[in-house]
Formats: sequence, structure tokens, C-alpha cells
Amino acid sequence: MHEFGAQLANGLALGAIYALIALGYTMVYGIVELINFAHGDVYTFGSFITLVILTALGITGEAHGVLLVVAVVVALLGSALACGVLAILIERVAYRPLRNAPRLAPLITAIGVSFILENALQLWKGPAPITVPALIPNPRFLGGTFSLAQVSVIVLAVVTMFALQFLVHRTRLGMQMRAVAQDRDAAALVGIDANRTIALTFLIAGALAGIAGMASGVYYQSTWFLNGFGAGLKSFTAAVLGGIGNIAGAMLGGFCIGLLEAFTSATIGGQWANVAVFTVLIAVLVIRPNGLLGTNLPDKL
Amino acid sequence: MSSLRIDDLCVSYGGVSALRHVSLHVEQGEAIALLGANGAGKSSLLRAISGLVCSSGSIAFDGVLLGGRPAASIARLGIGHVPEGRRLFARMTVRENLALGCWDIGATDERMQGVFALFERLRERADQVAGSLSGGEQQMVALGRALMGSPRLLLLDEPSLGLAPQVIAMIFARLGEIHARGTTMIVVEQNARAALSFASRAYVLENGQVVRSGNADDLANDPTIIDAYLGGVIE
Repeated sequence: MHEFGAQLANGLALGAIYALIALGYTMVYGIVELINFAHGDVYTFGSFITLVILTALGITGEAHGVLLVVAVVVALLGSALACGVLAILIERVAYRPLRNAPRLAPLITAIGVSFILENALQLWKGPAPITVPALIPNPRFLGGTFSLAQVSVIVLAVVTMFALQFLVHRTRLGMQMRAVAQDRDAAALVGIDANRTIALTFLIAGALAGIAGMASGVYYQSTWFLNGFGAGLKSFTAAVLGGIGNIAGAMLGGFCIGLLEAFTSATIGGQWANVAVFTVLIAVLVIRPNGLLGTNLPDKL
Repeated sequence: MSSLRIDDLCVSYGGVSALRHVSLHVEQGEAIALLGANGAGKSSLLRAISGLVCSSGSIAFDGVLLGGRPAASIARLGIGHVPEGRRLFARMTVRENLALGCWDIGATDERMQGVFALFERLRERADQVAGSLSGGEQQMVALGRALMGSPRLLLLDEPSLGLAPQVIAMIFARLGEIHARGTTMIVVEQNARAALSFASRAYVLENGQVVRSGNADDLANDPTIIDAYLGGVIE
């Protein structure tokens, strides 16, 4: 029973990180129908920026009190901002010039951008895994099952999802994003600047990757230049599993995959985790081709 | 003063020319009709004015040259465009569709009440998803959405397409009210009879060129026009 609780906690925390990344995939896909393969690397960039910020604050291990709050807030905002700006730059330089090109062109470009980022990150911090300070102290909750770091990551993901739902469905920017997603010409005819709206969508998606990068860096106390490759692939899978373009679906898919991975690793063995994840993906898509929460129409955003 | 002046406008799609050296003008407060068969270039002309397609030549709206401006900025100059096929945001509510049409956020509620006064049906449908409405209701939303921007020039692309006769009559009656308030209009229509009775002047397009222009009444009584666009009344 204790083992079950521990794996539940692991799975939910891992799933929360996948969910945060998946939200970015889904937002970008929703508006420009592009699988942004560079998204996972933006997430890695976030964990590197977090490391830079923590180092600059002089933090090398657990922080307490005011310092803990300051460190978390600064690392979270700093990483979100840096990743948001990076995502906007990528969109501006690599995707916008291909806005009216056949769909395959930006897709291949996204893979290229991913390689460029991975190599740049490797040049910056080297090929080996890097230790991130264990910022969060370790009190346990719920009979010792959940650590503070796990609870924080899960709460962060859920709060972020609700904030995003609010943004997309209750604000004018969200309304404009949905309008551009549904019909770009019609949006232009009512005075919506699609370039600006798409850039802001990339900013938000990048910021979400930054938040995920900070959370995973601090939670796993480790990162490396290819961190976003596997996590990005898994998160993309989560977005598809939940129904791509659907915000709640991305979250649900993320948690499903996190839990599946944790329990498979604990019972059958870590080498079977990916097999389990993709078997479930295929099974779900056979029964529900649009994903768990996807609708018949491609429900963009 | 001309509201809209177009000189030597050319549009082509990948080498195929859709408009060739079109020149026309629309005076302040005027309503004109564009007639022509399928593929004559009527929609291309409206899309060129709105900046949705690239064109050469010049288009001036109230003295401002539109060339090179993005579509969103042209809309904000005061040109409302009700596109062919309505192009609503089908998965959003009527209220959201209308709100998107208004970029002067403070005026949204007031203008929406204005649209509801014009089309009472939309008040009842306000919180329904636009895609679930009937064709006539969707046309009302499309028109209302363009009106939300408080346009000085309204471009209407086939407002009668696929609608029942009494709905067409109602739409044109409302267009008459909007025109009476001083909005300049260009109406593209397959339904030439409705368009000629609504507009004061008309241009006839054929293969991307203006082949005729004149008073709507004169054109409506012209044998060649009757033959080509009014169903060739046999006497």
C-alpha cells in the first residue's frame, strides 16, 4: 500500500510536468495547426534558466522562509519570461515566414529548430547531466506519501490549467485567439491582427514550458541538454491522448501518462514504460480517434 | 468627395488574372452594386479592397491609400466586409461573434444593442453557438458583426446566397435602413434584380474587367443586361 501511494505521488508529479508542457503543444496546435517540435527544448531552456537564477541567488540547497518564497517566485517568473521570449523569437524567425507555405514546411522547420536548440544548449552546459539545487524542503503530506515538492508541482499544474481556461474562454485575448484559430481571414476582417495574436499564443506556450522547466528542474534536481526530447515527445503524446487543441484534454492526458509511466516502472520495469505509454495511446486512438476529450470537429483551443 | 476610388486595379492568383485594370469610384453615402457571372472577379474586388489578396494599382479610402496595409488595419479604418459564405466563428456564440467585431471595447454593449434592435432574432439567439443557427440568422450575425465596427463603408458579398425569398427581402430592408443612416455600400450579388433595385449605380464585371457601368434603373431596363443577368425576360 505504501508503494502504491509512493507511485501515485510520483506519477501525479511527473504527469503534472507533462501536462504543463502538453498545454503549450495544444495551444500552438490550436491556433496554427503546427506540432511545435521545438517546444520540448524550450522546456529544457527553462530548467537551465532556473539553474542560472538559483545560482545567481546563491542557493545551493534547501531554502527556507522568505528566501524560499523569493527563490521560487523569481525562478518561476524568470524562467517563464525567458522561455516566452524564446518561443516568440522562434515563431518570428522560423515559423512566420512559412505561414502560408504547405503544412509540411513548418513541421520540418520545427524539427530543425529543435536540433539547433539542443545543440546550443549542449554548447552552453555540456553533454553531461547537471545538478539543480534541491530548493524545496522535504516535509511530507498525507501520511508521508506526498513530498512538498510533489504537492507544489501538482498544484502548480492544476492552477495553471484553470488560469489558461479562463484566459482562453473569458478574456478578449482568448476570444481573439479562438477567432484566429477558426478563421484567420474572417478574424482579419474584424480587425484582429493575426500575427500579434499568434505571437502572444507562442509567448504563453513558451511561458508554460518555462514553468514546467522550472518545476521539473527543482523537483528532479537535475537536467541536461536533451531533457526536453523525451519529455516533449511524451507531452505531445499526452496532448494527443487528451484530444489535441483541448486544454482540459492536455491536462488529463498528462496525468494519465505520468501515472502509467510511474506504475509501469514500479511493477514491470522502467524499460517497459514507453511501451505501455504508446500502447495505451494507440488503443485510445483506435477507439476515440480525436482523443479522450476531443470532439468530432477538430475543436481548436 | 469620393469615399472609395480604385484606379487600374489588377489581381492575379498564381499567374491567373482575376481582375484586370479595374477603375471605379463610390461616392460618400452611395450604394452601388457589382454584377457579374461566377468568376467575373466580384469577390476578388472586395477582397482586394479589404487587403485579403495582393493587388497592384491603387485603392484610396477617404483619401487614404490602402496599398500594402494588412487586412486588420484596413478594417479598422472603417471598412466592414461581410464575406461570401458569411465566415462566422462557428464554434463561438452569437454574442462572442458580435463582440469580436468591435475593437472600441467601451462601445461594445451599446453597438450590440443596436444590432439586436435591427435583428430581434439575434437577441434570443445571443448565447447560442453561431454554427447552430439557420442560414438567415447566420447572415444576420455576419452583417451584425461587420456593423459592430461602425463602418463608414460596408462591403457585402452575396448577402442573399442560399436564403429564402422572404429572408432576402428582410435582409435588403435592413440594408436599406443602414444605408439611410449614411453608410456607403458596395453590394456584390448574383441576385441582380435585388441588387439593382437596392443600389443607385452598378458596375458589370466580365472576365475581371468592368464592361458596363451606369445608373441602376438604366441597367435594369437594358436588354443586354436583362438577357445576361435578369433571366432574359421573354416578351
